[in-house]
Amino acid sequence: MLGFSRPQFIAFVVMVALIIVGPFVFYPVFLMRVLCAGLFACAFNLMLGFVGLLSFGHAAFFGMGSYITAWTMKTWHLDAFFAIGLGGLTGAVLGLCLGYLAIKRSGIYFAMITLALAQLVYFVCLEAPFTGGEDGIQQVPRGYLFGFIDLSNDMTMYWVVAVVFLGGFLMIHRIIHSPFGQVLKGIRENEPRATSLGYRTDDYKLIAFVLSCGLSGLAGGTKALVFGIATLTDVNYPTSGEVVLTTLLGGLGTVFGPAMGALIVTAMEQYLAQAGAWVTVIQGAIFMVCVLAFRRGVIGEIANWRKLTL
Amino acid sequence: MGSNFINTVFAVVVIGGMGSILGSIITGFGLGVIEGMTKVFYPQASATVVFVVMIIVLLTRPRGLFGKAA
Repeated sequence: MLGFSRPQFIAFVVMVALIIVGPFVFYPVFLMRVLCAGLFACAFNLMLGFVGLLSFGHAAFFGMGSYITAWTMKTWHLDAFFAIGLGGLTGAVLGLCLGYLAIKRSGIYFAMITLALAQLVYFVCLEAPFTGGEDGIQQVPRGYLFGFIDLSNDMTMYWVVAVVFLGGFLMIHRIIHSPFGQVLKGIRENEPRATSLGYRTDDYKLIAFVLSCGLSGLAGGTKALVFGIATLTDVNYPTSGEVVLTTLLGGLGTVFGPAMGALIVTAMEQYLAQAGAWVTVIQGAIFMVCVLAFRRGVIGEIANWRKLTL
Repeated sequence: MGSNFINTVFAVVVIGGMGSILGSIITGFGLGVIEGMTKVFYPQASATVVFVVMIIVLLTRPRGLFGKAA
């Protein structure tokens, strides 16, 4: 169903059920944070897990998406739908420009060049007048969706975020299981061979990069709308590092892994917040245990144990 | 907490060419001078100039300035 295999469909139903039940048990704003981080990680996984390209600059697209959404909401008073859409579009266009330069290199050089380009974006965000520099864009109104749905209520906002997340999730799932996605996996496994079969691997990689960046921008835009703020934290390189950690923790190359990873990482940040500086230490320790003991990530290990593809 | 240093050091190694110690030394000196000069003329960009150099070098000489050809 929906192109899912049977175990995947069951996992998908469980996930949707958790998303529906979630806000009645937990604080909705926390769950919205999880969903935004989840969409970001899923988009990142499309690059790292299915094309095998480690981008170290995904924060640039996430942050730029959030800046554009916040700015259009605050200055132009756009409809929330268009503001989030513009955030995604900005991510995609930026991804096209930066990806065009970065895709020429591979391996560690690709990671370094994406990091360098992302730091340039960070510099632009720091200096450009419209971003508000160190202050960021604050007090962004949530506005209305389609002109009549008032988003100032947390529960209404939650359902919108849930729809955006599920839309992005299904899109990524569709991309992965399309013939295009098969070519991407082929490139991941053996790039010279994919070339010899007649695929223009650079074009495929660039398209995957743009799709991933567009979805990251979408996640960033949604996050900006939820919290009413867009800051430099979202564009800076620790965000790029965190998304790598999230994806690895959940399970690299699995469809559900990044969402699970986002839940774990965000929950740690939320509930360990009293511990202050110890959060980083605990995160580091958990990450080390994960890398040493279960290298496929949470979902990856479950899938391997039950001999499933999740 | 030194996390900014990691970025710069990464950049130095990549620009100098991975596996080349002489490259790292020369690039380290060079980048230090460039960063210092930027601090004089356009202070805001002093942290970013390293990355501009890295992009230019990686796009023109993929193996770094002193790296061996593959």
